[in-house]
Amino acid sequence: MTNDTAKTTTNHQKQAIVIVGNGLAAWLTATTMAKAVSSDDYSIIVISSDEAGDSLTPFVYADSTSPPTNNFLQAAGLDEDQVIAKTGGSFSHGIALSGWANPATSYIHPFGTTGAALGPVSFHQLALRLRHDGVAVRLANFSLAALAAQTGRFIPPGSDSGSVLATCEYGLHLDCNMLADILRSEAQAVGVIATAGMFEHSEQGNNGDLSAVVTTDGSRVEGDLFVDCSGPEAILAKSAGTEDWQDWSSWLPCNSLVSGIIDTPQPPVPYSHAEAIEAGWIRHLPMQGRTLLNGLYLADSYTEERMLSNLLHSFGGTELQHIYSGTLRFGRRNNAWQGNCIALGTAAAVIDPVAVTNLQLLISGIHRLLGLLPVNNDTAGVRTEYNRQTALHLDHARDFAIMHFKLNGRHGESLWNACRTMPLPETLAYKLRLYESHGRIPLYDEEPLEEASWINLFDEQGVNPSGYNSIADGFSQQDLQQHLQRVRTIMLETLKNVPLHADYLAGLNNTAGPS
Amino acid sequence: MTVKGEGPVRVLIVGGGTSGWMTAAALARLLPPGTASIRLVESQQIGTIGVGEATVPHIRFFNAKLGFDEADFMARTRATFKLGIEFRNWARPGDAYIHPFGAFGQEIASVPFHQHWLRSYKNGLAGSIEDYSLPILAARDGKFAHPAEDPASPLSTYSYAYQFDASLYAAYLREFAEAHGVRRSEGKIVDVQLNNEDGFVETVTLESGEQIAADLFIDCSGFRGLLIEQALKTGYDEWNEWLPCDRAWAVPCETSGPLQPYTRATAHDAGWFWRIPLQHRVGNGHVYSSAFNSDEDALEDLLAQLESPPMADPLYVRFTTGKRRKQWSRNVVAIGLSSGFLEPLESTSIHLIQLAIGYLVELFPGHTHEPMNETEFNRIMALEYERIRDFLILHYHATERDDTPFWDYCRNMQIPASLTERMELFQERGVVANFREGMFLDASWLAVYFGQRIMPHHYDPRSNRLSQDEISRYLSRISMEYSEAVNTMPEHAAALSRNGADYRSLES
Repeated sequence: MTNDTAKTTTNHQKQAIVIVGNGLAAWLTATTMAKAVSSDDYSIIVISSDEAGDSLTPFVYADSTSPPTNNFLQAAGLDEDQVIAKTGGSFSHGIALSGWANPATSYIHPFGTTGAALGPVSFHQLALRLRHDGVAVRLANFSLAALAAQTGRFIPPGSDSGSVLATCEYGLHLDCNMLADILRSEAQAVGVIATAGMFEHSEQGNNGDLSAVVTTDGSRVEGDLFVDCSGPEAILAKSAGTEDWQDWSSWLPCNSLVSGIIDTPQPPVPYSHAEAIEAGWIRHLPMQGRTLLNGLYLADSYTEERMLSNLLHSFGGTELQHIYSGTLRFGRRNNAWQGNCIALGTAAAVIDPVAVTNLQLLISGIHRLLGLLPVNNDTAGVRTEYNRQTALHLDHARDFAIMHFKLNGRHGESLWNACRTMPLPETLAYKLRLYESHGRIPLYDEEPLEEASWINLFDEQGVNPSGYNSIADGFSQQDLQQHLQRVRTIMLETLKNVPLHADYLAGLNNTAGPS
Repeated sequence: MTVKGEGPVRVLIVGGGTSGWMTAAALARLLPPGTASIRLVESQQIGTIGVGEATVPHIRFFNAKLGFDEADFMARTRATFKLGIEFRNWARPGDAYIHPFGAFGQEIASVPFHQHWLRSYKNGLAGSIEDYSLPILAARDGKFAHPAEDPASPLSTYSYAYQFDASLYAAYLREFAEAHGVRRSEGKIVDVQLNNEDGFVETVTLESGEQIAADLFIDCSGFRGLLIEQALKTGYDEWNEWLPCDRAWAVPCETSGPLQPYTRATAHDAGWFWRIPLQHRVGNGHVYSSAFNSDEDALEDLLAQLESPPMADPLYVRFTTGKRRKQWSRNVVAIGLSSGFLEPLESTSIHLIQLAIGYLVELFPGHTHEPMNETEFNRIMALEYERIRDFLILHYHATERDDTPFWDYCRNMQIPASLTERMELFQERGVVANFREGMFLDASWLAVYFGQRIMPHHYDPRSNRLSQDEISRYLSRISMEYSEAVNTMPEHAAALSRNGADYRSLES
């Protein structure tokens, strides 16, 4: 049988990909693309914009990642350990959340799975059964990532996939400016062109697609595919077409941001921290030598000065370098890819970074695009698929963030009171109802987080299912407690051989040399 | 609500056959002692469909959960091994492709294999994609061996399933179920009593007059849907505008020629013939559309293409492709043909039973009805059904055949938007869209797309990062590795007898 191959093209017309934006978003996109494709097929040009146009804006300076995108540096041709050493970044096994479930309590959102199944019954169902019997079970006590985070340890990648170490995953805390510099050099070394002039305006062709960008020095850069990495201003995507934005502010209430940096000479802990406060929340992103603080809040409740003071107070520091103030507008474009223009990072969506971050969404956007690159300007099918996947992914990321606010236990504070009663998107409301019933999580297509993260969130923020899978009743209470004991013992034993995060970082610095 | 101290949940399975006994055996085994008391009522008067049946690899996990020994199971059900399905005459008369249990090649430089293959094939530098599938090469050579565990071995690149006598499987399961506490009753149900207020099923009445009460009813009564439809009036979504076949004839015959380790589906004027080789005979069938073929002609066509004389009277089946609007309604869960029907083109019936049982166990209700369990079960089963439906429609719609009105219809019909989008994406860039639910993964879609002559306009440009030489070398290497590995595999019949089958009955 022969297939009709006449329809398959092997002649690829060389296409120009024009990326507009500054900073990490533009350079990560450019470098990753340059490493993925042949330079015979695509030329890649980066045009900067003069308004702080970075598709991580407004969350500038530093951001974090969470699994499963940890090989994004490798895809950009970089060695992760070297990047962390050179940029003074750090590793993370999760997010500590204080004051969300209750003003006085904290919990951890670990990266990885919790416990181990017994026969056909999942760990979580076993826990629900034990609690029903009156035995207290704290899930985090059976999470290797949580235990590592709490004891200041870091489990390096490449661990034996058959062992308990494989249940623990990690993310990165990254200095975006320093990483952007590294990527820019890397990109230019592999033929990516950076124009001298900056973005001035774009031109459209007859069919409404973008055809070129004109720069401030008068050059005209033609392109076939355009990527908007300019942040929420989305200067390229907006010039291409409609204002096409879905607002998320009814669910993610913070509308203002101040950011600052505090010098922190002590070694960074292997987790970030999200602290809920009266009219917002504060994020601590520790790295080597300094910690980034983001203060997200309601403009009506605090002045900027008051919020900066909140940041300082929350950290217990003496001096804060104020690096950013601005409004927050959470939401997303209805279609990240319109015509021949793809919006990435915060040009496509701005999310409250309580769990999934804007850097994370940028990375997943880049990788999604690479799998759907159009050839010879045939964009219809890949664009539809890109938008389908992106919409689902972004909405599910948003939903996970929303749930932190919905399930808060802060009474007497108007922001938090309002969150508790806010209506939820239907797919999210369904998740909550199903979990409330028997502790089960429905997972949809393109979810950025897996079941373990949802269970942990519901469990720690106070949702108690009314039932559990009756199969869990098949074990005696003694069997179950022995199982839990065994799991915990293995984890604690394993941890003894895991290096301290500080030591691991020091080891990298010694190898890499001073940055 | 799991309420201990209220005694076991009384489960009544209505109907036997594969669906009833798979459910009985699985619940008896997987539910902890004391959770449920399980009873099954079936009538010898009501025949079960049980023709020679082909399966997909997931069934091995089902059997393993029940602790079945493979050799014992295969001997008792006269089973053969299955490496895939051969489709003949679908895109064009004379075509033959195999949809295997296994992926084509391996990813290279983070780009799917088939993209590299597409580029090379267009450049005249690659063989048919079938050359890069070990299970296809093995199937065409009539070989079989159990897959290797070592991921470095080419023999680890595939899986397998079975072809067996479904009524023998039901008997095997019955034996197991009864040994594990399931109580079987003989009888025909003539009435169903619903609760006046909430419409839940309270009891069923047998012809003998006996009334059986239960908390949970599993409707395995086949197409008629005694409980889910006749009593609860759940409703049925019909899909015959997209899958117009609505009849089947089935008849066994003696095996002629060597035992093949695969099922065959041969497209015909207004439907298709199945051929399922078992140890002791071949199961044959003709699935067709009554709008385009008469029952008499269809039977004649079936008999005309048999490889040897029929061994029994032909069995006639009428069906409507579609699914029950809800597979779980109140305290009735429909499993098997009562829940919906998709023609056996891709051996999905037993898998749908297995899926339903699995989700039922995960969502097993206690004494109190939990509406969310029902909702979630229905949500997932609907997705599974719809995605299989779309996959089957692809086989019919992606045809170049114009030799009969049936094929003209299939070629021209409006297909679901979900499938249109998938096809457009593949036709443009050779990308297979991924979904969380849906039993058919990338490799299956690829096998059928390519087999049905759908060649993408463009391959993944990332492939060009590697030179054609590099890719060609890789292609030659794996094609040779696979061929060499196949040479080491025994013939199917020999593999069966090594597995304990009665060798004499396999000699042809």
